[in-house]
Amino acid sequence: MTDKEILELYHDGQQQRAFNEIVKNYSERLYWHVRSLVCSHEDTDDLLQDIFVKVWTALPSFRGEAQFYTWLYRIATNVALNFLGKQKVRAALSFESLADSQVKKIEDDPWFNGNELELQLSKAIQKLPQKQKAVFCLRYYQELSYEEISEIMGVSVGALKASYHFAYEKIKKELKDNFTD
Amino acid sequence: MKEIKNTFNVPEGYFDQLQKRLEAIPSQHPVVQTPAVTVPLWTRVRPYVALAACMMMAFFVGNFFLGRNHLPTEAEQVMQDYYYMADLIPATNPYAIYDDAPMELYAPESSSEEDVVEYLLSSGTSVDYIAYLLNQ
Repeated sequence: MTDKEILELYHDGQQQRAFNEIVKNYSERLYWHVRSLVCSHEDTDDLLQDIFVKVWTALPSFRGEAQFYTWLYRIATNVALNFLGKQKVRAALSFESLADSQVKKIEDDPWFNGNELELQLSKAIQKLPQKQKAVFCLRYYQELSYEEISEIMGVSVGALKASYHFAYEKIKKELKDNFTD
Repeated sequence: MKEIKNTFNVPEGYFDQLQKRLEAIPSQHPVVQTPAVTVPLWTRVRPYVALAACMMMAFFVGNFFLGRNHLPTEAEQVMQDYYYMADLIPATNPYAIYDDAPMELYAPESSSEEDVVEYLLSSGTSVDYIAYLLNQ
């Protein structure tokens, strides 16, 4: 079912059915997006619940000004970034950096199935600033266009390109340093 | 949209279980549909109008009480001038204030011991201290 059909269903009074269709179409996709940002399966699982509660409560106010899936990605990205912000404060209180704790999560993750290069890439991504990380993940893992990411993040395409470029350069340097050691 | 690439894994049957859990959200979080309420313009601007009125009132009341004594009376002006001039009078040559002549004209060519004692007495220095200074 397309986004348009889902919204029509919702406005026809079949809210529960429309929501089930949203869950069916987007739960897995949003799971991977959030997982690429927060790493841990358990955290992602909790956040997915929050995200879909927000989607359900905010659906009546969706006016169709943005594309429906970019609206969903925006909610998911904001929830994940808020979570990382809180984690950052918690990490600072225990005198460690968020990047280090995220890297440790990847190293200890029993559900990581990438090779050595992918492991190093995931670790390098976790060392990026939050917004750059979100831009990089949306572009690299979700393969969204800059225009779509611009709608999600509320940032101009030019700024996104610059942000992606900086993220790319940092990751390249990080991987180069790790593999030349 | 294209297929996404990922380097993580999930437990067996996780997405089916997740889907079931998420589909239960509408029954756990009923959305209360609130009818759209149109607020009249006057209701929206009333606090700002009240704030502006208060500020105007404070301005006019303050101006009334403080502004009515704004110009000093003639006697007050004389006193003010007196205090102003008093600050300018040099203690060593009080007459210099009355005209524009250079200070040197009033200053004695050389100060005798008597002049010094007189000055010290007039400036409130104790007699004992003056005697002590003279005996140095």
